Amino acid sequence: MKFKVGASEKLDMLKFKNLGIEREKIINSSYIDAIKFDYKLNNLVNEIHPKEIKVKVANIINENLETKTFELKPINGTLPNFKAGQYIVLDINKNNHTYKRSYSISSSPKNLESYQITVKRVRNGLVSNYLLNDVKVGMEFTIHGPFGEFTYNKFRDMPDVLALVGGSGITPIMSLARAINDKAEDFNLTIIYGDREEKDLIFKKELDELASQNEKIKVKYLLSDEHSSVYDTGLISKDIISEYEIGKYSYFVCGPIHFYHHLNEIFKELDVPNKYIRHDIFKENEILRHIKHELTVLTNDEEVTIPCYEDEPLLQALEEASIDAPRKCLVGVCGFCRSKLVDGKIRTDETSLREADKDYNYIHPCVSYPLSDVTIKLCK
Amino acid sequence: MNYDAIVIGAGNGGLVSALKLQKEGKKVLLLESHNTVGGVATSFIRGRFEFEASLHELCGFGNENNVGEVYELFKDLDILDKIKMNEIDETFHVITLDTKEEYTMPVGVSNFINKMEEYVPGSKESMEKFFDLCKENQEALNYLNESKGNVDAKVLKSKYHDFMIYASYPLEDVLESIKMPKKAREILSTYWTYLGSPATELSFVHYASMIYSYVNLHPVISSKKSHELSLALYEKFLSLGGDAKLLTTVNKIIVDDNKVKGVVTSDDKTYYAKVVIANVSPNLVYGKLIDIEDVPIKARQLTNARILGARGICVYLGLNKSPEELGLKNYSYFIYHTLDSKKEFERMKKLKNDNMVGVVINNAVPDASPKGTTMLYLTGLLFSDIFTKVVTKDNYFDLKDAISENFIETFEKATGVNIQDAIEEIEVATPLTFARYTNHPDGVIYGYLAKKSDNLLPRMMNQNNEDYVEGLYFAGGFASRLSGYSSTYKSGEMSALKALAKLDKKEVAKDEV
Repeated sequence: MKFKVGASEKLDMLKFKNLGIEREKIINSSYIDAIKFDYKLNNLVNEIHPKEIKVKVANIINENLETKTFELKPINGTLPNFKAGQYIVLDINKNNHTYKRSYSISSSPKNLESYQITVKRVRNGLVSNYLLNDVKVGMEFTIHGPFGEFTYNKFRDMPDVLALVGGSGITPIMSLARAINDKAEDFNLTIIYGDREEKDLIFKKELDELASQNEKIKVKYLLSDEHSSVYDTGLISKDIISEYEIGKYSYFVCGPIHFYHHLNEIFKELDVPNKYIRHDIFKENEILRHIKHELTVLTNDEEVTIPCYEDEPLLQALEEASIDAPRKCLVGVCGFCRSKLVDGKIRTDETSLREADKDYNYIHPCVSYPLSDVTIKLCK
Repeated sequence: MNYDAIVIGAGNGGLVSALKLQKEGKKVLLLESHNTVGGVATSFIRGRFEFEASLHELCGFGNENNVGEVYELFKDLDILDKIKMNEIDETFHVITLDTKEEYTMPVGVSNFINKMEEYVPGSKESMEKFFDLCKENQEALNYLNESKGNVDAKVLKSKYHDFMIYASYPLEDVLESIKMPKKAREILSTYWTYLGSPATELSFVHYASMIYSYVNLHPVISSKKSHELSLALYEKFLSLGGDAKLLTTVNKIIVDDNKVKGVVTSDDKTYYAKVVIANVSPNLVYGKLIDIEDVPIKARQLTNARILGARGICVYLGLNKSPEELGLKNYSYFIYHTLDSKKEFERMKKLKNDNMVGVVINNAVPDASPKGTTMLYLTGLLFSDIFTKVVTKDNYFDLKDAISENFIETFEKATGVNIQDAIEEIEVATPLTFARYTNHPDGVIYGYLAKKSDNLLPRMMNQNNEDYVEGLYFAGGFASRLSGYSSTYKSGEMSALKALAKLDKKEVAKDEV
């Protein structure tokens, strides 16, 4: 087949031969200024998603006997915007260890002067006790984030949200309520806040104020260990959830893991589709360290063997041994601690591993517990 | 520490380079700033959905009976037994918003031609001609690849005569010259967004090679998202003894006397090597990683002469109904206002443009998400820096919402399918997201704009003349094969071959075309 595209076959051929020469000419006539990797968008990444932020404790508020709110102000520059419901990771340097813990921001996203985190004492909790006992105004910390998907999305979530809260799970919900009041979010929020006794409730005064001032916010309390004429007694039950029309509400569940499991059973019984359920969980199991194994940790440069225990997440064993493993959420959701199980048996909590990761024995050490001596390889 | 080669960035190009070199017995260090490999060839989890980050369909693969170049590459790299590919029984499906047209094109050359004849009576002869040219085009490109720069002009002239004639022209000009009816030209050009330039700018060679590989070889998609492919390459590399450091950023490439010497990483370690393969942008390499006085003038000139290509916007949707329940029958939904690619290209310079490609991955991989659910990806491109101009720290979340709304509403309008009520998970990636995960300038996802002298052929013809720093080669979407999965995989192979030639002290022959 003979054909031409331009004026003549000959010219087409010439054009072809000149493609490289043309390119060369354009390069040679281009300007010689030095290249500078300075792009507004790439610079903005560092403002919106900085690798770390240095902060100072600007204020400490006693919420109740066992709970304090820490107000963290940036030492330099501004804080990233965040969505109510997100968390930060706080680095705590203590006894030559760096502990990383995730805390939901409890303050309003409209306030970027500071982030507030609210910490409740966990029995024998190393970090919570340190924060409540030893941290003073003026102390400096490094934080990371904000991260997390426990946030309201108008395309996904219903205009009415029922927040089901267990104990200190109130912290991200507080941020959501404050966000509604500050018009940073726009939805109707009904909070059912369960705790043991009245004295354990956090933010009660402000929640009552918000509920009385803002028609979009409602709050109900439920005490499990105290009988009173003012509050309902018991746990969040099927009957209580059934009072709210199924299909009309999105459920935001926040509390300890057993609380989440309890509610999940109820949702199953009530046939609530997944679409309506969002959760943010934390773990406060006491670690007894009875059954001991050996954990061998491989990195590119070294191999270390440390003790680990059957009821202790591998990540915590690493932390105890001052091995700086990547970590963020600590509850098996974010995937940042992803490591490879080289040898040994583990048990793992519910976690979000990619399908292909499973084929190559990747695990999330934050929710993995040893059942034998174990070898893992970190990604660093 | 000393290595033969250091690869910066574990994207498609970097992974292939690293594995190829390791497989050839070289000592390789692969450095990646994130905690997993693949660059945008990865996946992420939201609730019970594992979302594909970027792969729509892989071209150039085929199968054992009809082997494409990516199949051959993966065979050479010995990873075929680690991946499972699924054929997609549709080349593309396009809907126009303003002109209310809809076309679904099948796979297989004769099916494709017949279907086009059905849509555009009288197009058959020109379509046959088109596929003849495609075939020659493929053979000519193979010849150019295999000759590794030692091109015999006589062979070209005798065997690939037509190729030489159309090679310097854009798609539109060649289609006109073979008298393809306008409507057929428009339909055929549907894929133009995948390459990032309108039919009037896009090189015929490039477009023909892509569409031929889709139509002739079947588009495919991996079972476990592109993460499966990235991980297969990476794990093979590790199993052969390759060293990799994730969560490690390269802060500096050491150059001395115009020769690459090594790199300095974010943990303040220095690694030495004769070869560095950069699976990052030349803008980053010449603008930040190499000391300013060590950047050759020609490298500056080349980089300054280029235009950044498309920025991407993706809305990832996890829907709580099956594709059948929703009424989503097709794999792909190319949605444009019209089929006039030049006009649409201009429209896509504006932030509020709603041209997109929707992909329903379950229609090729039914268990890509839990039973009774659907994963739908809506991807749009921006051919300007408008997003950068508009975005601020304070309006970013609102901008993401506006993008989601725009895309979801248009998709519903184009298809008549209600997706809003089924949204169980939603995530949005903007140019800022891509800038965060790739550090590409301005968050571009397609490297440089494929236009005129920066089209495929001129890049390939001059590729051996543009390695301005000795021992430094580029892989990935900014390199000579341009962007896209199959291209970036091949770019990784090409840079590895250059590196091997250098390490084994063979001279790379000059291109004689």
